Amino acid sequence: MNANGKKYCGMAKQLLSAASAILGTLFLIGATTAPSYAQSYPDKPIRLIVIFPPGGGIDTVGRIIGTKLSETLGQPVVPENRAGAGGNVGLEFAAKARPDGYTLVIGSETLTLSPSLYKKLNYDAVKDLQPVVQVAQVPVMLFVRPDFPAKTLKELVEYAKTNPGKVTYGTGGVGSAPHLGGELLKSLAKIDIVHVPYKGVAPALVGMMGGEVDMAFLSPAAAAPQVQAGKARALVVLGDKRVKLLPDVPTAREAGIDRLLVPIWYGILAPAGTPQTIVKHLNAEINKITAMPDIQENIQKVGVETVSGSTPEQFSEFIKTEIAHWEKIIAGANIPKLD
Amino acid sequence: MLDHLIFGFSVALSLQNLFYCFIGVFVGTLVGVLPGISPLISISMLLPITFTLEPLSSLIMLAGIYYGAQYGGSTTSILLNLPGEASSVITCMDGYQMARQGRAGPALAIAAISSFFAGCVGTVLIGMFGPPIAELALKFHAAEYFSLMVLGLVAAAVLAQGDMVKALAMVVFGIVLGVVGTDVSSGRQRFTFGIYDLSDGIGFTIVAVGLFAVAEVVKNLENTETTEVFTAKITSLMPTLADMKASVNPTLRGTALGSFFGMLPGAGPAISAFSAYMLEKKITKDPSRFGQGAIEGVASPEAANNAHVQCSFIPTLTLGIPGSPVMALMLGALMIQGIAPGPQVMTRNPDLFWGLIASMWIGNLILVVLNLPLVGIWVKLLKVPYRWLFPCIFMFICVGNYSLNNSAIEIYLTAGFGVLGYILLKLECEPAPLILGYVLGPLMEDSLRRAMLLSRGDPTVFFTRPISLAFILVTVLLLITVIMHGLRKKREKGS
Repeated sequence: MNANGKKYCGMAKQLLSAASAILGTLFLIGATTAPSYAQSYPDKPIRLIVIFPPGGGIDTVGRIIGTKLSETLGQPVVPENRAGAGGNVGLEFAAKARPDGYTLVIGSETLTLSPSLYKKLNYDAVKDLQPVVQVAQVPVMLFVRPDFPAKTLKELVEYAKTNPGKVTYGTGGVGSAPHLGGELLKSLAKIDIVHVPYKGVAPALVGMMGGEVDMAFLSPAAAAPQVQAGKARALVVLGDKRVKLLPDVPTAREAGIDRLLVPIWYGILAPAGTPQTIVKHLNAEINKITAMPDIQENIQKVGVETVSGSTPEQFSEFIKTEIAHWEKIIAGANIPKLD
Repeated sequence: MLDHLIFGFSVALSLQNLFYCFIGVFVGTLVGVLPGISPLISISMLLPITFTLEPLSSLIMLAGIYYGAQYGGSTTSILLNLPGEASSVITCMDGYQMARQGRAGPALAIAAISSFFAGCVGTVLIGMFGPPIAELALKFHAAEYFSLMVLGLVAAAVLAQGDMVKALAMVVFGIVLGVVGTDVSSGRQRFTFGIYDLSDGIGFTIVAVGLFAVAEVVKNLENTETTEVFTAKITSLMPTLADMKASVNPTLRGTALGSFFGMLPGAGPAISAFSAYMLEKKITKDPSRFGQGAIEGVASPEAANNAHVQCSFIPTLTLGIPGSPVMALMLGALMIQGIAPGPQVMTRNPDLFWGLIASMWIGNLILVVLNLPLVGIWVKLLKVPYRWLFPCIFMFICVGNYSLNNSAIEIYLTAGFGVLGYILLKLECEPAPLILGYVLGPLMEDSLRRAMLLSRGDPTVFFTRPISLAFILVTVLLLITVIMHGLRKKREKGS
């Protein structure tokens, strides 16, 4: 009786909160924006630019953190997907947005790869963006369809050598980390494989499963359910540690190609010139969030591993080191520059 | 099979799930009625509040918003020539004309009934053939998609009202508008003229609302003597027996087409509605009625649209592959609930799978119950003097389009497209083929370039793959019929 009463009470509460949230959201849709001041930050909704289409790992992580951040800041944090050019459209948008703390971006390794991959970028990865905090990291993985002849990385290299120019790999876009993974494999193993860019990760996954392309370089989360269901096979982890989501898959080093390492990382950045008080405030709030066990668990479910506790300075240093690192590797591996 | 569905209903009919189903379709109807607020925006905004709900309840609500929006979109299309969603552009063509003849009631009712029928069929299809259909859909590669798009575009051009050359020009113009933005293959900016807001392309609602709704208002204001646009007496609220009879077959055909396209991930509901309309126009005895308020022109695309939306859940639920950004969001919601979306959802979480399917049927029923009584209220809206009505329409358009990206440039663009729409109206150029080109152009380009990349630049790939070849052959056949017909007409005239 007591338990029953509690249950109904809980349900009524749930319904009420849902109904009020819906009403609030509807008001918000038509709401106009007023000028804002740092002192009362935040006094209006904050938009969080997500640099890839909805549904992917970065999108989900952005929404998990955004939701929690809405609660702790007392203002809605609204994710806004601005995809294109391997994530550079969203980063450029954020770099050029007003630095008032009401535009944030959840950026990724795109930020550190692009300066070396592109002939010309419309923003400066170091000067135009203010790092706030890193939130997650995970390596790229290589997936193939179940009936693909190669069972290991070594077999794949042999297969590609006997079929030069015939093996294709799909990715979610030009200049993405998975694209770089493909190019890196191509140059390290000296094989001729063809890149097929898709408009997003989901179409690339469909392409691989439907046999349109032979393989796909993707984040572990993108294809893990397919692997668990036997609809795809994971060949190798492009990192130095195995992935918790798919622990049976060997790393590149275990499979025999040492330097085949491509990390995916997510971090929150703001336009350069955002007031330092706001940056520090956001850093502290988001670090609190990424330290929560339920958030860590939720982010784990998405297939990336949380990084917590970095200061804006550490994150900034990390970005600079990564850029220099990739510059060397991309030049050394003879990867052609993109338009 | 029957056990599964009964199990699904037993889960979906709980008080809590019914409540969220109702909330979902209600919000969805609102979202569909208000132009510029897309289901994508509203679902992504509501997503966070679903974290605290049970997985099934949240999915039921989000799905309700999605198909509810399709319903709501047809209401404004019929009443005000204001398409809320891509797929309701077609409903404007005859639905709005019916409203002008005082037959808004029957148009709204038929739209609701044919949508409900299609929704029921879609639900049954998912329940019975979901997994095998999804496997089949994976056989559609870039070459097939490209040939399908070509067929769609050519059909749109040759079957459009009036001048075929004009229609072709409109399609091409639409394609050009569609390529504005960032190129997928190279990451380069195209036709953006350095305007940053164009780098994501021109939003659909901007083009559709500008060309249809704004242009229509301007045209209506041209007649200074008559302030009342809807001059005809409102005859009845409910469709007559003849209306119902005339709608039966178009609804069936529309449902079939919509179900087919809905199963293919990557083909939006617009293509279903367009092809259903074109098909009806082709097989009718008197094609001149279309565009003048033919009830078939409402029943068929509405059915196709709704069947498409239902069936697009097939690839999402059975493979864990999103067919559209909205579906991707729903999968994201599942992941946060700790349920790995994928082929195993059906066996691991049967309550979720069958519960959702059952709830979609319930949701469709709620929509009919919700919408039929509303018909009377909606129709009364038309009695409002036009000088009051049109500023309201403009206000809704501005608010809606501003909220898309929170930028004023969207409103300027809408106004620009309004002017363009008016000019096209004066030149007697149909805007519908333009919209189709705009929606399908980028998809077609993406498929073409990928197909060519995969074939190493060999164009025969479109003829060697059987499904692709079939689409190409139908396209050629269609062109030949039209050309022969044209030649015969010319000869008759000459002699």
